[in-house]
Amino acid sequence: MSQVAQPGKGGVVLAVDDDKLIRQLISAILETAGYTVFTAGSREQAFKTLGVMKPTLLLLDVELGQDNGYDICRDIRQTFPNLDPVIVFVTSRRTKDDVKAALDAGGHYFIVKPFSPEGLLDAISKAVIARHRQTRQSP
Amino acid sequence: MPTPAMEDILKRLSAEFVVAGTESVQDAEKVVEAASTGKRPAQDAIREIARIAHSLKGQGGAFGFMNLTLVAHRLEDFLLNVDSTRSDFWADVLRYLDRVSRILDGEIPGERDAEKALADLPVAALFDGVLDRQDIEVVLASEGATQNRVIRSELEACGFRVTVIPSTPEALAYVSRVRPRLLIASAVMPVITGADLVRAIRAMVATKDVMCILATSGSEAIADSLPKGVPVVRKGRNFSADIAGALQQVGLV
Repeated sequence: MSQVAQPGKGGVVLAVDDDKLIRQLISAILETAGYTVFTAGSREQAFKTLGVMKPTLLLLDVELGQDNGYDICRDIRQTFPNLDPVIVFVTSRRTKDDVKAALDAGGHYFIVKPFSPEGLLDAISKAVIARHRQTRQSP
Repeated sequence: MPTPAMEDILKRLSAEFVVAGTESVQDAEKVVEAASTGKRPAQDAIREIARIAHSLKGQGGAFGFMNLTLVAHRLEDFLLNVDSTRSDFWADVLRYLDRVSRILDGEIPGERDAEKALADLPVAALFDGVLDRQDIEVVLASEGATQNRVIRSELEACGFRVTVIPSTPEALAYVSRVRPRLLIASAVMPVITGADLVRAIRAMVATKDVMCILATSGSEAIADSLPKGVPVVRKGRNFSADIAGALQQVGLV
């Protein structure tokens, strides 16, 4: 398994959300938990940061302005095939279709807005576990 | 638990949210003003207000204003389901925005008394051009859009306020806070099944009195695993009649 971010053990995170307050909230929670956090408010900013900072964890808003987080996730996988971060989708709904779309796009877990600090850290832990299982099952 | 440092940051962000949220409400009020006077197309205005409501819904709970999240959720539901050509449509939207303002101002608690935060808000129950304001809330925890439309219309025909939540974890959180009179849960749901949702609701002290109905297309055996007094409604040709029977069984009609 690659150097995946774990609470208190560092790791580089990119949080992509078009809502400035939510970006600040995520930064506050994750920096307190020991992560190094970068944020992006748009798809373009996200791609620029991804290429330079090479995060091991990506928090991706599903409804990113005019863009769709699932499509962005697929594009990231194609554009940065060697990056392979743990991906957590941040969304305001979690229906069966959303779960399928997230997995199809290459995501590892969901967190539903509104979330608590504990809820965010728990979602990241679950995403890390999901990614670990995925890696072990890969041929 | 948040550390003292994080608590300070959350407190600061919460204060920033109040300022930003108030500005968003003012923006939405301007949109209502423009739409209600014909200066802006109604659908365009509804999209913009729904976007603002959606944003407030996501931010509210994260910054200690869960009641604001509940009101914003209701506003989104209202915008999606009520005919905007109704004469009092924009006045009703303003009532929602006023409620959001009062929560941001601290006049209505942000976290406690969810019933007070939601009381008397207009709802998406439209019959023969008359908006029904009967104060009995029904939560429908179900995914299928077509099925939801059918159940919703049946319930609205009885005069209930209906809130559709297509996710059982979110329905569990919503029911715990709002304590509606009735929950109708679809049996087959991801993450938490409808039956488990019903059992959880009836097992919690705060929600044990919420009446529950399980809607299923599965086997009869599921009824045995449910708490006493929870009717099972079969999806299918007799669904309307079965819903009516179940509502009678739980004493709502």
